[in-house]
Amino acid sequence: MPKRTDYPLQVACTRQGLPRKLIWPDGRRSENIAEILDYWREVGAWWDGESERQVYLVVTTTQKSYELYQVLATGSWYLTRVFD
Amino acid sequence: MFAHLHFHSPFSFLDGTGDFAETARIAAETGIGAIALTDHNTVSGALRFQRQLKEAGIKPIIGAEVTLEEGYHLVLLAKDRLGYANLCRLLTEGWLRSANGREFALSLESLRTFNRNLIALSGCRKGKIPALILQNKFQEARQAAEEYLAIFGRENLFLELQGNLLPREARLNKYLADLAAMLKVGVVATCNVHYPRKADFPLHDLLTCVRTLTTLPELHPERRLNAENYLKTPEEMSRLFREYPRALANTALIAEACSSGIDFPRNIFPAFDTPQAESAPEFLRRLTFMGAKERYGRLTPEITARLEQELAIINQLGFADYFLAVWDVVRFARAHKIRYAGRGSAADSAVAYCLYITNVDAIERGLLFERFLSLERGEKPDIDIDFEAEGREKVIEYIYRKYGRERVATVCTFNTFGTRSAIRDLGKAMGFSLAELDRLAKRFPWFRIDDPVAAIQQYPELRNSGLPFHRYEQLLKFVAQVIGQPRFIGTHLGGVVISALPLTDLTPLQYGHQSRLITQFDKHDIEELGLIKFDLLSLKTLSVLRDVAPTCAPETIPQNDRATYEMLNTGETVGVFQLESPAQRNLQSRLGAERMEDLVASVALIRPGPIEGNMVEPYIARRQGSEPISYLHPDLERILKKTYGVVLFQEQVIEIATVIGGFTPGEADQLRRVMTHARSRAQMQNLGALFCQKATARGVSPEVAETIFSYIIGYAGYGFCEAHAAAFADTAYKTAYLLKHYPAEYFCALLNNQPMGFYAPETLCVEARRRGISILPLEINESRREFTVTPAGIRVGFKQLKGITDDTIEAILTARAKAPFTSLFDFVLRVPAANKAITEHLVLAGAFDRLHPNRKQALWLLNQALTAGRTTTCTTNAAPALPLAMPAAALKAPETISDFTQWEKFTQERSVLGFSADHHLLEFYREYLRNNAYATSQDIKELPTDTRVRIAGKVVRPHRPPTKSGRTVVFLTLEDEFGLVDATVFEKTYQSYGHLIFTRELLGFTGRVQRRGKAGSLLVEEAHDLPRTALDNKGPTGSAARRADQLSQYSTR
Repeated sequence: MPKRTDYPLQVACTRQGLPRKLIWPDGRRSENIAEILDYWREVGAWWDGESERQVYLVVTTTQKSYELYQVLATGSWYLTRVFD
Repeated sequence: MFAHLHFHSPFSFLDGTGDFAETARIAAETGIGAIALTDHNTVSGALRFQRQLKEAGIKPIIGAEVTLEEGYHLVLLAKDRLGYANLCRLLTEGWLRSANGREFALSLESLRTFNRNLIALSGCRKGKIPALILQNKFQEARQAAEEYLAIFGRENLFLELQGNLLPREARLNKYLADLAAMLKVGVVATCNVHYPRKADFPLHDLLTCVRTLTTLPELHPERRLNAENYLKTPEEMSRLFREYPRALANTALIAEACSSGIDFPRNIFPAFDTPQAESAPEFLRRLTFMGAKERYGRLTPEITARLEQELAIINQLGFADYFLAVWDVVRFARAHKIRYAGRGSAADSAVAYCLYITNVDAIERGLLFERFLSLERGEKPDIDIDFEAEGREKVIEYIYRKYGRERVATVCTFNTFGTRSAIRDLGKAMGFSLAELDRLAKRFPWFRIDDPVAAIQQYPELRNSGLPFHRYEQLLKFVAQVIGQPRFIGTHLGGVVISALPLTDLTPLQYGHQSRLITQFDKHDIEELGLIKFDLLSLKTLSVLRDVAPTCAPETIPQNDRATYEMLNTGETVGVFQLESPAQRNLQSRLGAERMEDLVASVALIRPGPIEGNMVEPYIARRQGSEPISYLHPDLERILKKTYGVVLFQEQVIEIATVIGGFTPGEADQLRRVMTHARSRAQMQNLGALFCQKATARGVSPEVAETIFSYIIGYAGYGFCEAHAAAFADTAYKTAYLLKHYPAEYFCALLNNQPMGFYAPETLCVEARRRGISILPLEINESRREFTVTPAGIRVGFKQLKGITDDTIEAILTARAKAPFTSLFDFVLRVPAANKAITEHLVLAGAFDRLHPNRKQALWLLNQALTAGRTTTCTTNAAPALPLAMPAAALKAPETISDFTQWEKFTQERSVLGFSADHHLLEFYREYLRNNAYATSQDIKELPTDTRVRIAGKVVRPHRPPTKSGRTVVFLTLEDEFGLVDATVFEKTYQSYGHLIFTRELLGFTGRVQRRGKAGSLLVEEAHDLPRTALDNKGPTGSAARRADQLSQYSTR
């Protein structure tokens, strides 16, 4: 079952701007992305001031699946779902 | 070159936004070479689209995204005229052959039949192939692709790879590309555009909510996940499809395979079936001269020359068949005694007069045929004919029978967002309550306002409303964006087209109002297809003439009836066609009309053009000889002599431009277009500069040229052509005659043909009563279906009752024909078709007053009667003898139930009938008004000018026509139990009291009496609400008494 979160984290990106590595806020834990399974764009609740976000569904080298997104206006990253 | 081949416009009705001009501008700026219009199941926007894109140098391609029977989408693009015709046939099939005729569904069978010269793209995610792939049904997806391949062929089928950044898009595109490779068909890159700019997404999202009846926070599969359905630049598309260069290249390949828009033949009117192997021109000539002999008796050389000249132009332009078809239509109407009247510029034609198409003698009136048809313009004729309402349906049926259903259709119309409707629709989607939206929408003027945010400060009824506008900021911004966009397709009131070719070669057809077939192009575009439109309009005034005909046939009305003109001169013209508005009544009281020419001028004078051109006062003064007639230029005398040197008609504007300014036919035509179609002040100013320049070059002094043009600048607003005014004046005179000589029959007919005219039934009743005609209440044993004239007055008919159906009325009349109703119980028993609500309405309307004078007791009895009566079986047709199952005595209401007050009865009658037959709203305030020295409408007629008065009345139709200065002037009518008084509110007063004037039914006013001509009016200085205590809810306590005594109370200060 996926767990829904809205967890800020840092993401290292490739030169093309694609996520390469997930770094947890404490800086002590990180995971490399093995594959981007899917990606899409969402507008969210624009009427409530939410801004556009780029969403990625990734699998890490540790075989964990995550859904994360980048807020395009600020560049900040958030982890939104973790698939066990 | 990159081409966008999947593009939706607002003609996808709530699934597309933005305008074509913006699309063309973006395309030109970003290097998009071609765009294909692919609206859902329609090509309605095609002609506007191709015009706008061609202007910007972008190649337009015409297509549509069709919905198949299984619900899947498929994009079809027309390669050329044949492809377009097939597209039209497919769209028609989809609309007409669907299960319910209302939702589009196209069969594969139809696609197999009409696929030539069409290119098919596999569509969005709702396309069959992508939808099956997304469901992992790869085998079925392949089968679907093979099915399309069999229909369209390898070179005309492309699998669509879309770049909308949606989940699983990369995977979907890869599968589609693999499938295409497997089947050896092409792929093409598209973006499924639904709005031109990314910033337009919120509005599109909101429109989706309107379409799906949801609010913003609600989820719905139709809502789009992101804002990626905009017109992406070729660079953006290249980035998105860098892995599929072939898909990008194929956009250009497809665009090249398609023609640049669709060209249509110039004229495809059917050849008229002439007798004796005569050609159409010969037959037309014969009919014209036969008619001329009937109309004129003796043909003078002048008449013959004029007819020959007109016929030559008609024939040279190839419109003989069209004239014959119109002649045939009016011949049918005359044969079937259907009343009609030709209107518009067709009345400039003597041929039309001789063919009985119009009733205006163009030769006698000196009307220019060129205003209607000219070789230089070569424009299609536009003949408008008004018919009485019921007769019009018979005429249209005749046309269908004569030309065949596949060659005749009604023109569509596009319902567009107005300010109020946009507030309601978008506001609902944004989650505002309906009550709140109603309050907001009603505060906005009824006409279109392009900037609703600015309007808040501009209009006092908004500014002083106390509404929390900060809450509506975002809503009103969206409203501003959507105003004018098409919302849905509808049926035009009168436009009918007839074609020599099957119509589906030119336009798709679909069902419209009353299952009539409508085109997908409206009146603005239809002629570009080569079609000629008839306007067969319904004019209720003609129905009124028909209704009065048994008493006085309009054909027998004498010309120049002195009594009729005397009535017109009093300004008491409520009910007269075209002459009943406050401005017209004021004009009539001052003009001193004494012949038809005066009425023609009257009809033309009170229009925005002459008003803005400041023509009204000079015209009246010159007509009455109180101001000398002078001409700024000697050539103007000939042109303006019959209108006393005043520019009144469009024909005069054109002649001035031609004679004084030396306008070429092309320039004159441009002027005509600005006056009749564009109505653009900016374009009029440009023509003004040209006029002054050319007139000066011809020796006219610059000052004179400027002044002459200032006379005609107002014609950027709406003005009448003389022919049209003459046609209307003829009808106006007839109605005035009937009002004067047969007022009861005339008012009765007006009431029976509502809604029509300027005033509501309640005001017509006041006016009828003022003329001494009683309005008799609804009476269960006396009333008929409609209003009827009786020796005692006009009896209200059952049709006026809110909610009643024809069947119920029929049941009442049938039962009553056997025996009059003797009680409510008797009624309930014998008219089971009348349900409880309708019977209650009858009680509240006073229909049972003679049988049950206490209405409250009657309502109590009704409940008892319904319980008892409906359980009693009435098996015979004879009037049942009471009691049947229950003794009548048992149905006696308790004596303690006292009746409603007069006020309650009055408000109930207004609620169920729209008015009270006996009382007027002001009667309930009269005691207060009398005690507080308020004048009545009749006082105003007798008081001297400049008298300062207070007066209260029902506010009738406040409106603000355009003015020369651009400042707001509000005209309204105050109605009380004695009659009407017109009032004027100037800008300053309007700014202070507009919030009351446009929102209250009843108001008190302070102002000064104005006397111009024979009528008195009020110049408003202040408006106020009457105090709550002013209402006397026990009932009217007096009538017109003591009016004379009060006149002395008013002073002239």
